Amino acid sequence: MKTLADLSYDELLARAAAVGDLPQLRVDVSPLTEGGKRWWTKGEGLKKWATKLHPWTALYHEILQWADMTPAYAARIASAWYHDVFGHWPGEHSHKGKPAHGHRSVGGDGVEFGMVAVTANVWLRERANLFLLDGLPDLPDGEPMGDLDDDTLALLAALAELDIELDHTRSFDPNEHKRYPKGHPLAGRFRPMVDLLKMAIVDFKDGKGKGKDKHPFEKFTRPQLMNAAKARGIKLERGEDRDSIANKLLLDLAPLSKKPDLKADLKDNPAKLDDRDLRDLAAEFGIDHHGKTRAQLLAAIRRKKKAEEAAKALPAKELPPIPAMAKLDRMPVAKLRKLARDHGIPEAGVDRWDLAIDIRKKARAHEAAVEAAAKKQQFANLDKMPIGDLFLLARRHGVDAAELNRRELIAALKVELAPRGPGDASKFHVTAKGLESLQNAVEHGTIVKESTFAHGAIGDTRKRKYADGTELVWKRTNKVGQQDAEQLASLTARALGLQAPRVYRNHPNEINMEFVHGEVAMDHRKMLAMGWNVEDIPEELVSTKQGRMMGLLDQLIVNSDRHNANWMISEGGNLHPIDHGYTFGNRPGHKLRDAGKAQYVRSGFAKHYVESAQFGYAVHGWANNDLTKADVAKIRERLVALKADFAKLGRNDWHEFMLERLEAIGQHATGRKSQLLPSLVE
Amino acid sequence: MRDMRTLQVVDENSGKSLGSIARGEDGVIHTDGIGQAIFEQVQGGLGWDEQESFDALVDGGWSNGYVSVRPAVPAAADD
Repeated sequence: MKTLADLSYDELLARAAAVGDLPQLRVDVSPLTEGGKRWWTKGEGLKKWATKLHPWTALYHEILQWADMTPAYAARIASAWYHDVFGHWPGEHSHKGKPAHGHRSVGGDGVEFGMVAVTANVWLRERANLFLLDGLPDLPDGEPMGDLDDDTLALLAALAELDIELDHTRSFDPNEHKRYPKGHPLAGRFRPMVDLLKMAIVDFKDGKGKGKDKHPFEKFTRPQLMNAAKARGIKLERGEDRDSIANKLLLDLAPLSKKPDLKADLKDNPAKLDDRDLRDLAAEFGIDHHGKTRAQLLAAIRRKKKAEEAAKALPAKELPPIPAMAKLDRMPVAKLRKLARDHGIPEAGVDRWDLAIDIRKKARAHEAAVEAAAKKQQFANLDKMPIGDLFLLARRHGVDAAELNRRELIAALKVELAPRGPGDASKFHVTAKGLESLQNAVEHGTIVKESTFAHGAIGDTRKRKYADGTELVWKRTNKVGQQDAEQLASLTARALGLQAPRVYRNHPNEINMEFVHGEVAMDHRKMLAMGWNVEDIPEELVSTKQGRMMGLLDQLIVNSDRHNANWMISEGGNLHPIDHGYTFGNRPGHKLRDAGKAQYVRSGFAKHYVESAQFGYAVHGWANNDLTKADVAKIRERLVALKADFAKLGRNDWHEFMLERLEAIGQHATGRKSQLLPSLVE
Repeated sequence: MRDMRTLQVVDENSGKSLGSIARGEDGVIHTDGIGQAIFEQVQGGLGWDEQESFDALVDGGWSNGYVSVRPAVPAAADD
């Protein structure tokens, strides 16, 4: 039977026309027919791929960049050109340098690129075994490489794309690669097969994500995997089983590496880091960026990075480390009991869950004891403390331990652990006016009661009561941006007349917030009457002046978390906004942009200001609101007055964003009756 | 006995449960009441996946000072 490979170019075109692809092919193929293939296989283009570690993969990606090229076409063409150049097929390692014999090869010297493309296209269209690769030479294991079906081509495309991405230390990002690129005939459409495979491979290799426990090649047959392996030049043993081939395919990929991260840029290309990147890095390392120049901040970050690396390099402690609770949860009971015994925790008669919790308690108790010992007797104990505990303290308190000897480390810790004075607050507050009672309690008061509500990776939250009766919520997190947002959102809310708790700060990672005596909205009788709804709010609250200002606040600061556990109702029906760490675009993947554009904010109060769909997150634009033009002017005046407070924390961009947003909302102010509340900013 | 696969959302003032966050045997996260909103808040804030976020909640909890998330204390032991 005459196969496609035996057909002349004209015959192939005729065949293509018969299956309906000719018009497109004539346009696509003709420019390349003249010299494209020659350039790639004999000319300058050869060095772009033939000298690479994975020539086929490199070529595949070069071809894929051309307009109208699909992964399947590209794979087919890459195989044919590879054969032309090396004289054997990609999977045929042991025949390297020897011409194949007794078998037909497609894409030989006389075949132009156009022909190959047409061949591939016809093949894909007919999906029959006519075939292009039906006569591949037998490989050493006696198992010839078979026909590459669509699934195998998709697998090859996924592996090839991962080769490139991993080489560039960039793992697959579904947001970037989910659709075909611009200029592609399928531009804009999802690429489910290749991308799902890539995600599955990355998840499995990385041991994270939904696909971490499922082998990505589970649904592939042995012949498919064998063909893919051979196409990638992987040597297989005679009769090698399916699982082994699958593993070889995975091992053939470069080790997974993280997305190009800021830390990498810090080392290799610091000029690439903009101010926001630097702030993010500083926050990640628990460094206060306030009042530092770019150069100072860069230097501080570098020092901190070294410190972390040094801390990691510490010799292992005698006792096995205590893992996080979630790991304990999954630990076999025998191992759990051994861990308990190692740490001197009674385990007899205790069930596994309570045992796990007791083990974690032990870990926390150790940390607390280290800290207590450090604070006792004017830090005299620091001098006797083991170096491991000193490093533990350094990490907990953000002390840069890099290049510090023991004596220097102790000195640095003494400075960090020393009681903070009112002078430290001046780094964060323009004025202490209005904060006197909080400042007095925090700086000079005695804590008589402390309840720890949370203490872990997400943050440390405690309720403190001082001897003078002051109650406050103390929060610590290593994300300075969250604390900036808490502080500035509070000021903004109070400028709008809302009774947001005041925030007093004397440390970049810690804030002290007035305690609100009231009920969490979710637990309020009016909310309970609505039945467990987490975001809906009774109209009688939304439509009050306070409700309108709550909505305005959430729009101005782009609040993504005003669910009903994040605002309070006090006696007299006053509304108190709380918890503003995730505002001003201050969360992973969010950035402040398009200040003038109406957008969804997660707040039942925000509906006063936007036209939105009845359900879902769609926002059609700004709605006319009940503020008067005079209200807007007054609010603007109050917000402008906060400029110095934002500047103090280096957040001028947040302030500008907020004013721009107010401007847009103000253009839709059509009210006739003032909705203003008196400002609470002292 | 505490159940580490179920986290309770508690009003610190009244002690009432406002919802829950639980991880099933299959690893799927189930939420109830305000649990969903808080779980989304935590996950979005950390930029972690569901499992990592749940692990962090189990390990150290979360609180805004008024509402907290912590391991539940079931009425009856299940093991």
